[in-house]
Amino acid sequence: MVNKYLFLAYAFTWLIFILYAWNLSRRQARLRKELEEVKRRISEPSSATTSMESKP
Amino acid sequence: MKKKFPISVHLALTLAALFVALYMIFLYAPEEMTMGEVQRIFYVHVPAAWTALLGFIIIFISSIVYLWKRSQFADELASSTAEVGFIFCTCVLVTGPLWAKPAWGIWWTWDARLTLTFLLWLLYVAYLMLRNYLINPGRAANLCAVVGVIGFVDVIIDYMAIRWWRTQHPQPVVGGGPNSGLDPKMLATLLVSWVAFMFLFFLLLRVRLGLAQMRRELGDIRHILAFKASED
Amino acid sequence: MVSLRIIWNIFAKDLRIEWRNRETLASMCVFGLLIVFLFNFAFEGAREETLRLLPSVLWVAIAFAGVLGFNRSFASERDNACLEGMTLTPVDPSLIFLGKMLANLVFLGVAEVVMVFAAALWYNVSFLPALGQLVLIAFFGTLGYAALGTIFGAIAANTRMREVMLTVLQFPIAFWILMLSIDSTSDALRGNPSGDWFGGVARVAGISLVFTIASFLLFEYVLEE
Repeated sequence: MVNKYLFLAYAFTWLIFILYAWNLSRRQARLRKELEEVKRRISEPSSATTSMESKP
Repeated sequence: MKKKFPISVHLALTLAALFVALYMIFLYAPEEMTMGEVQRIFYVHVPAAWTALLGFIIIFISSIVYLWKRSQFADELASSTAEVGFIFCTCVLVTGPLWAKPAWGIWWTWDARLTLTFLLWLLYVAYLMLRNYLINPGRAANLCAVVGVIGFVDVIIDYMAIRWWRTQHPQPVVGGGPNSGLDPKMLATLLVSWVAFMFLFFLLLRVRLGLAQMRRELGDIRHILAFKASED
Repeated sequence: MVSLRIIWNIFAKDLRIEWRNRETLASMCVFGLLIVFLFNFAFEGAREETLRLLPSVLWVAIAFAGVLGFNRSFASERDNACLEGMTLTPVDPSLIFLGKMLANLVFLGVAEVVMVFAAALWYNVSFLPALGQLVLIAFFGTLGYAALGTIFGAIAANTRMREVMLTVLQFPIAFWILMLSIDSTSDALRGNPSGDWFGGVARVAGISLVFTIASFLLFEYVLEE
């Protein structure tokens, strides 16, 4: 029977780092997608679009 | 650097270090006499605290480098470290009370270490809020660097002031000093745990830095696009 | 000296603008008064208790009134694009800092006088015996606090949630200025039981000067484009 505080402490620690790592990987995927899209547009000769701001 | 130390290797080493640390924490380190097994939280709480402090030191140095040399990398390093350091700091503040309650019967006390960590946490929050709530993100580097410097000056003052304050208003030190009378096996476990945390910290930092650099690349390309569009 | 004249100009400008409708000053005084009143009323009764709490109540009131003032000090600059204007002039930003800081210092000082009068009245306490020491503590404490408020006000003016951003920056960092001021004020009011009045003043002066100098040196980066 493990002490519940011990369990909670370790559970929280794992959880917060896993959540952060997941958050990082999602942001990375989103940024990568945007980068691909923008790189594609820059190679197109006719691009009269203005850039839009977005959050990574 | 990426070629010499690929991220996959870093990840593998981190996981290995964490595994070793976990083994030592639960199966190698002896059980503490008075507190029992709850004391094992200490092996997460203390290294996380050291890491959080290291994070702010990195922010301070990067901020100074940025203000002095206008190095984009320094600014990206500061913003990345702020996020990662904040996670570690939050970890300290949660594991602290979870350890304190069963061990000493109180959730919280304003002893030196906890007070310093809480103030550090507030500084991280302030820095991250500033980063994310600016109307004109172009000013982020300058403004955050200023806050990084003043914030660290504050950390130093916190440290000195808290020590002085505790001579005026003494209080039983909760949990003893970090290394006061530590069993050698416990010390070894603590150090291994710290090493594992260092691996984790730098791994997350690397990934976050990559994000910042990608964002910069994105911004540069958008600039080119806008420029091209204006030329037509 | 040209620098002194520039500082004076900026300082005088802020005072003049404020004198026109005295909005900020009035708000600061009223707000500070309300806090002092609230605590006095809430802790009515045990005189020893309330006397022990008086320095804390006063400095908390000063802290909040100060933040109120610092916010408004930069709000009008922001709304009228004055910050950009100031950035464009060939004036050393540090001088702008000093001018604005002195103005903030004066406003907060006036509010403090009002609060102290009210506190002396409501708490039946005389500040006169330790007046010299208290004035020194108040001056240095307010100086450091105003310096931080000025630079953080300028920084926060760039954000979407100005008032909150200023508060979030100000309180953790000015925390020890407030704590040491409270401690010294408490000592002073009790007649210096430890016999060391210089130490208290010196601590407050020391920490305030550190932050004032840091703010002074870093302000140019805040205005820089």
